[in-house]
Amino acid sequence: MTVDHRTLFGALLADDDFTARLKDRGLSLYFVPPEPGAAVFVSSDGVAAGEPPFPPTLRFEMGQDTAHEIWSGRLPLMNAVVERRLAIKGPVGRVRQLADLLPAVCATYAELSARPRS
Amino acid sequence: MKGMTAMTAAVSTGTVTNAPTLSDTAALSAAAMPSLFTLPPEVERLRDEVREFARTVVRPRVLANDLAPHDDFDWEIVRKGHELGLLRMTLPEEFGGRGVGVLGVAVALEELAAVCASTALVFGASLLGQSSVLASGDPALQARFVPGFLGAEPVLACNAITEEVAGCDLLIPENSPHAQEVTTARREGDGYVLNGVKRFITNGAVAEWCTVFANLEGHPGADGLTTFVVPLDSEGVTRGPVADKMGYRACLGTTLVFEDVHVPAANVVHGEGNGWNFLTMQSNQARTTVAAISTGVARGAFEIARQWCGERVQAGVPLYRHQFSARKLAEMSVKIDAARLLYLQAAHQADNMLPAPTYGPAAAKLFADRIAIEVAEEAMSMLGARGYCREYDVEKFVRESFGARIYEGTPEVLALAVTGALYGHRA
Repeated sequence: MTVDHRTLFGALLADDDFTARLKDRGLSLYFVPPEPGAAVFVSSDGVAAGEPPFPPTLRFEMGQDTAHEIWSGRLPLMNAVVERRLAIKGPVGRVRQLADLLPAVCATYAELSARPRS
Repeated sequence: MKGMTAMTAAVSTGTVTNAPTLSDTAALSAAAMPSLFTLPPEVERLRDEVREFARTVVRPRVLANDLAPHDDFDWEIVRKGHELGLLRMTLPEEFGGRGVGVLGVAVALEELAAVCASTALVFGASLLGQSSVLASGDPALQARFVPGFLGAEPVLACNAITEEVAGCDLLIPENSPHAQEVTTARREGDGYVLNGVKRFITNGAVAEWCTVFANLEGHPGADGLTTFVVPLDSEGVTRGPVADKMGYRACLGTTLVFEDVHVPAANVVHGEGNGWNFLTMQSNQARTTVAAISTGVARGAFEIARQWCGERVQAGVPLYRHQFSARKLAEMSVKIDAARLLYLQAAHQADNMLPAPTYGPAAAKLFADRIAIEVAEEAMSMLGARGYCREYDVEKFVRESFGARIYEGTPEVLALAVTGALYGHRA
């Protein structure tokens, strides 16, 4: 089952450690799928749908299927870029700062996707 | 002959001054000229350090290295460059690197190439080889291959694409379905067995490891192209003869032979069949930095001509006061600044977009390679007989200006990349 970014990062931001790591790095992420109106902005202040309240550090353009494969741990982030299924806009050097956040994202994604649909 | 003595002294001691450039924000600020590009402080610092390194370390060895046998290699320059951090420019600061992106590398390579394009290419080719490991995002691969660049002794990497019958096909989008390396990788056990011959591999004679592009057996065409990291002390690797080149004599282009070379599966970058996609991304970085090298070649030749035209007196005034010479100098200067602006823009895109668009790097290299030849040739003719003599360096810039027109994409290949972008074949 796929989990949307709003649900995923909403759950992650409930974890103080994850939120602190985003804040310490000054990282904000903007996920933009091809479908209009489905963009999600994530920062240590919370998750918001629609236009970002301030310019994000990194903007991710990818479909839900690609996001599902990445957060499921089946598709390495950089492989998604190389395969041109993911475009990242923003300082490329900052992408590396996501590396140690990915295990938490993937673990939460696995947990949420395993939950029975309510 | 009045200006001759000063010119000779300037060239031999490396005191030829650099004119302000459009990326030289401090100089432009002093001249009250606004600049579209303000380099980040860490890149400005790197540029200034590399400029000094080029002046004090590279410059005194240029002529001797150029005249040396074609298979000589100056490890001393590499060692001193390593001390400065030139082999770990793109490694993140948390790894002990300098943490600059394509912009920083390009600006540094222009500084080196303005004195010696060969030296710029030694460092540039190593950084290109490293790029596969850095871009992999694979911590295990990075843990095995990055620490070598952080030790006391310098370690070089290289990048192996070109073969006797394969090269341009791999860089032309329209040809990609047919593009194929003759070097093959056969799955065996928990890894692969590589067989094939790579040609003209810069640093191949001296590198510790190599990024190798090979086709999976039974998977011809771009879809089968796969990227491997191969230590060059692996059993079955032979370093072939060093090419005896017209220019770029201080960096070694070598044949690499792979005969039943076992490579563990962990050394595959981005997975099977992603080689062509990675190659096109890597080309954006390479083309941008080679555009910077060509810009440096043009600048190096121009600086000699500029100094000469300021010293040489004809009909009672310096050459630059003669309309004919002034027109030439102005055209040369503007061409160099335009080339720099194009590569700065391409580098900015590469540092802020993954994957970066192909247009910018291809356009930057197409232009810079051309003007390097034009400016170097013009500079040589302005110096007259002196320009034809080795001690004045201009003829070396002429020889090296032709090199970049061949490696990392010929004008024909670059034109296809540019028009491909114009017609929407590639974003």
